[in-house]
Amino acid sequence: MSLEIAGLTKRFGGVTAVNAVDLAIPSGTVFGLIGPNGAGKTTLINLVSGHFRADGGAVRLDGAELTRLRPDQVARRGIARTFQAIRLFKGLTVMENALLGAFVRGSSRTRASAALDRLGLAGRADALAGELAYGDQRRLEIARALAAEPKVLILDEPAAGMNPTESAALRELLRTLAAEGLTIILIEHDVRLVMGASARVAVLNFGRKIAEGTPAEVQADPAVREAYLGADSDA
Amino acid sequence: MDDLGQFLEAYQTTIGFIGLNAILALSVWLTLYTGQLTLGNAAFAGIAAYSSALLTMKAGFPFPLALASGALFAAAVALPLGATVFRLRGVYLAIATLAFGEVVRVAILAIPITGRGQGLVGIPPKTELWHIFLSLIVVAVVCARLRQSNVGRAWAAIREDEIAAASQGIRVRRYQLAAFVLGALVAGWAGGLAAHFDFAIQPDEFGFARAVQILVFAVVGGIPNVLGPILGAFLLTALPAILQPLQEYRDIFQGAILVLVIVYLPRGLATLLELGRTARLRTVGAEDVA
Repeated sequence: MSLEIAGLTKRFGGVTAVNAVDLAIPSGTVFGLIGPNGAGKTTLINLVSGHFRADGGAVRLDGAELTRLRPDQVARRGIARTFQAIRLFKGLTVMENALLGAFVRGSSRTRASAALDRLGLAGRADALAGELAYGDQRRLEIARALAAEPKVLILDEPAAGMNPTESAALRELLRTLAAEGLTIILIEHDVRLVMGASARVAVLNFGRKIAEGTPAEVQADPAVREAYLGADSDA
Repeated sequence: MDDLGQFLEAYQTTIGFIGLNAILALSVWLTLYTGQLTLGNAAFAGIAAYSSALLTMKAGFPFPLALASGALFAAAVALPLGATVFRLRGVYLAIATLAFGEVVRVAILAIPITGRGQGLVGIPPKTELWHIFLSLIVVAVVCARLRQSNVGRAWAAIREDEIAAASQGIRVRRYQLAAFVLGALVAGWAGGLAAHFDFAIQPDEFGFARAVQILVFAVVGGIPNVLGPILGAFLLTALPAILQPLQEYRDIFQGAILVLVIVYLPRGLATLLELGRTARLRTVGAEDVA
């Protein structure tokens, strides 16, 4: 078991954004996290990455507690992430962004180049990150995360703004990375991408986990259908 | 050779202050490059100026040891101060460091051994021009090296996006604090040199006006590389001497240059030859257009 989330809870005032969520994410798999808007998906991964402080519960990576760590400490333990609203270093070059991704690995140029290569960005190394097309910016964020050679990669809507061809290429990449042993948490509204890439999927609604299983099991689950149809969602 | 000797003699004070101002401008460059606006460096220079001068005058310290002690003392003050004020952001951080500068000035006025309002006079004039310019070269080379190292890249990342920087494993607070303390050390070194260059020091030399002046040198010259602050300090220090008839309009001149540079060269005079890059950075909305 790679990443373990137990009873994780986060309250904002009177709203319980994440409510006693348990997840067990095996190594070397793509784990999909879906749910209507406002279900608590991004809050959940902000808890894992240390951007939010949990009100209860625990996050463990290979048995080691991550729950009270700061984002930089979580990153150094081997968890890399991307952001729903892209957070590249816009005024720095593509290569500099990748080198910063590899910061925990001594900013190794080899690792940075390999990560850019992998996402098809090697030719744009000297461009400013902010000059890239939207889909390329998404890919650069993934490359930056991969340059850290993490154990766990968390992707928050990586396909937003990608066309179907790009999204299909991303699906293949995620499968390949998982086959190489990387654990991936995938939050995504593109149902085809989540169902096509994930080995397992968990569904959140109003901060609670309402279903978990293989993509087929989840899609057949009545609670999931109700959550989506009842919640006026875009997913 | 004789001409050069005469020139140096006639303008020794101005040339010395150009060098000292350039070192001070580099001291504030360190924090500006990380995206932090701090205004404490005049006070750090003051702390080191007074402590090193007192060490040579009253304790009989050899000059180099007094300089080093003064600079280290300034850095030692910066460490707890930085640990506290870096909880603040932007304008609040600037105000907090400015307030610290006022505290230092008032403290100097209150402590009898500093000569209070009269200032400290009779400081042995140990500082030679070559001390100043050797120091400038060392500081500039160290800053340039840092800028191109992993540390400098981490500073740039913090400037661009603190949250994303932390997610790359960068200890944001520690890197900000390092820039701040290093800046205080450099400012302190310059302060010690200034005290022993001028025979006398006064509390007002290290007050609000000085803090802003140092900032103006760095911003007008430009933050993207280390030549900017040096260029800014050189131009703005030498200008009044070059245009002596305009002496009383110096502040107007300085203000006008600042406005023109900010409007037309937002990345500073040192980026005059890379306007294309400035335009690109503006387009992508980079922080500080650095």
